Amino acid sequence: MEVKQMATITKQEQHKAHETANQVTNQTREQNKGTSKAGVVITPETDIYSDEKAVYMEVAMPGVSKEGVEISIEKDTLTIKGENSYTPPEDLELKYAEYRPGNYRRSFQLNDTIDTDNIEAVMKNGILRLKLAIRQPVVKKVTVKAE
Amino acid sequence: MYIADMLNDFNRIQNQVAQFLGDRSWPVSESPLIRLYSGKDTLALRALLPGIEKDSLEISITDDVVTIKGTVPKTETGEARVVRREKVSGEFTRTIELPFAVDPENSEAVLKEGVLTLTMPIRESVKPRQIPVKSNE
Repeated sequence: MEVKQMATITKQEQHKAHETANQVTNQTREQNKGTSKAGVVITPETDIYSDEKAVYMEVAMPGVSKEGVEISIEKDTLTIKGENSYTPPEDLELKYAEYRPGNYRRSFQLNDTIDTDNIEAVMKNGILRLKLAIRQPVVKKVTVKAE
Repeated sequence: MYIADMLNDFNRIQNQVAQFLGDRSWPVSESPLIRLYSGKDTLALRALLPGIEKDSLEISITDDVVTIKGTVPKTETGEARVVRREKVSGEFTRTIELPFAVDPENSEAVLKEGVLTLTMPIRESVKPRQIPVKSNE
């Protein structure tokens, strides 16, 4: 069992949290590249922020309902998929378009400090909010007895 | 290359510039992105507005001009450190000129899953009419 000073743990925790957040950010661009150009899959715009306890993500997927969201974790890769429930207005013809409705997909690399069993997800108004808890180090105090 | 892809790229670059300059609530002038549909009696406008609350949206229609106003809420990060910010927040106003004058009284706006759909009946007087071609023989 490790015995650590409280102050050190807090600092390490902070450092770890930042490191984790950075790793989430350093997702492989290559992985997300290509798919968006195909016109069917859109890379959703994402905000990421973090504190000592968790990494928070906000993923914009307009046109996706709660049921259309699929979140999966394989090894250290978090993949978010959103199925667009888009239906064109009935009996109308498209005249002008600035965007193409499509399904969403984006992958993020996770650091091993993320507790993958403890992920919260809420979908509202086309925004997916994720809270990825950071594993907290177990602190055990060892009492030193006098002989 | 599809126009939407170019706009996407442009928006992304704009966001990156905004981030670089430290101005995280860049005023969104090109946004929201729209699609326009038309039929014999109706026009429909779709706009992408993820994160927008119904109550913060203001839509006005005058003849053949639609104005959409609103505020995209900025993510409340509290004490947390911002690692990446791609979503654009802040106030926006977008004015769209329609191909026909519409009836604002009977127009309908629905906001669902971050997508706004405006359905507007085309005004009777401006509906395209068939002009029979007479032969002068």
